[in-house]
Amino acid sequence: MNEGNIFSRLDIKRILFIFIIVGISVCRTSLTQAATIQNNCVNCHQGLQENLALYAQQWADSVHAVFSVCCEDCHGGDPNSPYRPEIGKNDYIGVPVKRKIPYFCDRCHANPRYMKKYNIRVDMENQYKDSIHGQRLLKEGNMDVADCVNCHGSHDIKITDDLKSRVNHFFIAGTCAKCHADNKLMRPYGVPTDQLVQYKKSYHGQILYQKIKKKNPRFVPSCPGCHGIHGGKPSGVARVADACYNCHLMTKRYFQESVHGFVLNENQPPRCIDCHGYHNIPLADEEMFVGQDDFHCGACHSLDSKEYQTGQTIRTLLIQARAAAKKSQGKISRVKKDLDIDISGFDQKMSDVFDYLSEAKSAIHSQDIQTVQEIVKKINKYTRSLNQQVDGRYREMRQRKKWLVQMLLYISFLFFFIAYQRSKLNK
Amino acid sequence: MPLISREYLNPEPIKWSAYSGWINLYLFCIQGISGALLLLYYRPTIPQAYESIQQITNTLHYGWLIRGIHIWAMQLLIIFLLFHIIILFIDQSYRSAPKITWILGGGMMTLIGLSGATGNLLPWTQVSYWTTTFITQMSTVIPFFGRHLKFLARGGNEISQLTLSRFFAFHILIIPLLFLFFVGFHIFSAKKSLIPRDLLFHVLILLILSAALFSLSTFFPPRIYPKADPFNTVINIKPEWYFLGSYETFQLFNGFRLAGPRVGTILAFFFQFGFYLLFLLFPFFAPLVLRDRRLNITLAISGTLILLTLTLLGYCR
Repeated sequence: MNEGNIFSRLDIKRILFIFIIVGISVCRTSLTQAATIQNNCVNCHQGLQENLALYAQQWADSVHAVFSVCCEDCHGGDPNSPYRPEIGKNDYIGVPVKRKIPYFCDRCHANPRYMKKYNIRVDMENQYKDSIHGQRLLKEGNMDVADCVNCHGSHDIKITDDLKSRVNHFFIAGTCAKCHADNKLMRPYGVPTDQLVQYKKSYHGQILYQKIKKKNPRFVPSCPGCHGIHGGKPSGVARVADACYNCHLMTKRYFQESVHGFVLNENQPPRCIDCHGYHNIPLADEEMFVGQDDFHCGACHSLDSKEYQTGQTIRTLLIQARAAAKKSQGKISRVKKDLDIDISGFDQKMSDVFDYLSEAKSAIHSQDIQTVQEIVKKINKYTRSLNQQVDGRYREMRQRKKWLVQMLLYISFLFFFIAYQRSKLNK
Repeated sequence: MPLISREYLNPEPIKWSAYSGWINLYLFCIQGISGALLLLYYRPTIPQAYESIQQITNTLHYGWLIRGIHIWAMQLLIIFLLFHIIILFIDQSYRSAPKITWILGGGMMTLIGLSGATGNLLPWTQVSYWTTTFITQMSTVIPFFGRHLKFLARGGNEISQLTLSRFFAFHILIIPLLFLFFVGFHIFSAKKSLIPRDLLFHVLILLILSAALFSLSTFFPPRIYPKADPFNTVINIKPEWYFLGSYETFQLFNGFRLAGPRVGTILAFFFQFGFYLLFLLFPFFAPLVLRDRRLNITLAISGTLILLTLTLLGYCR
């Protein structure tokens, strides 16, 4: 018997056991930087089942882990406690109740001194309290409405610019639709559930989902663009229906001076959404002036009315301006191809023309022929001068060739004359 | 009494070895005059250089012609320079003329190349900016002081206003002055006189040159590329066509995949530098090696063909 020899007692099971222990500890240390610190919450949760293990993993990928905001910073307790972290600590909060979640997050997120170092806003709590979500939850105790974690996630919270974030500009519409497209959830409140479907069809939505090329999806509004982020309405406007003005500033100026804008203040007739729709906003073009379809002028004004005829005149002006701009653009690209010359000067002027064209599109909201006409006149003046310059280019090229012919004739005359004189000298 | 002595007017048998040189001189004079006219409107600062070129080409009366002549005369100058060298080589003129004439000619060839390289940056277009970046970067292949040469040429680590200013100074003053000095000695050492004979034939040459330049400038007017943008690299940038042979040599040596990444480049540099030295010192050993004129013709033709092939390869790369 050789019981004293340690190597004889190391059978295969024991060696495997040692390997597994070492393997697990290596994996643990590589999980996160924070995990390398003695944190018994993470250590323990990684060994638990499903969701309970998932929380630790989600947290490890979150923005909180990046800035070393650990379990105890939200949940309290003592992560250094060897067995259960809540033992020995009074401020341990396990799973917060839904009603208290806003206060739960706001311990840090409403604290200016604390949030200053991360340069994050701290007015979310107040905004949320003002919102319909906040009022329902905090005053009425309604458990259906969204709180912080419904939109941001609980442990997998990421910064807004992160493409994995639920509240990223490109995905937030889907996040809102999780509840707002849920028929069962929305039925008691009488809220429609087709907003996302409608939004995807709209001009805004088509740009956001990159169905329309050469437009920057960063600049189009998604749900929060009109409805606001935490407050349920965008800043600076009294109603969501006025949110359009936040981007379409020039249109606002013309609209407020118009007849529509004037009566709007009196007794609530046409707002932006009455002609353009709200979730399903199509591309507004000249066809809106024609016919009696929904949102078209004829839907409210009879076809022989004075107002309808004004619309027709404005439409004609706009079509003329667009055609003039298009013609000039075509001419410029043709002159570039034909003569192979530098057109940067032309391009600059052409972009001015397009600026005026978009102003004209805003100016049609004034419903004033005079106003539109003035802008269209500017477009015509610019395009006419551009066309003249382009024609001038062609003319100059022809003149250059004429000049060359004259010069060559003159040079050949001189050449033969001198050659003759030289040949005479030879004799 | 006649204005010009009869002896300068009398026709003489046409010697192309001399006339090809005179053509180069006239092209240089045309460069001087058209350059001086461009100087009246060109502004050598980064904010204004491009705009002034636009103004010259698009707005000024006959500005396009002056700029066209300036550009085309440079191209013709290079072509006639090669023509001059080939004819001298075939004629074995280096035997009769003093050796310093040939060396001065080689120096002038370098000056013309430098003049092209410096003038290329002045319009401050994308192509000129990135070509200059490329060429100045290429100067680092020179062992030991290449990096310093690059720093000196750029006036810093990047192409900046300093680069534009010193390229401008070199292009309009330093190189032309040196060239004038060289050309005077070149002609005087070869001819013992600076005044050409058979003046009427020279006038005829000038007439043909101006007709060619006018036609080229009208049918292929000077282009303006987009303005230089240091944040937007032009891909597949190449030097001017007359540097393409050298460029292709570097590329071919790089293709050998020798011991290190820079070994091919340094070998290519030494290969070309050695070739240039051989060319400069050619009259000293040529009479010993090249006795038969047919050998000269064979060498000239094969040399031209190699240069053309390299240029074409560089162009197609």
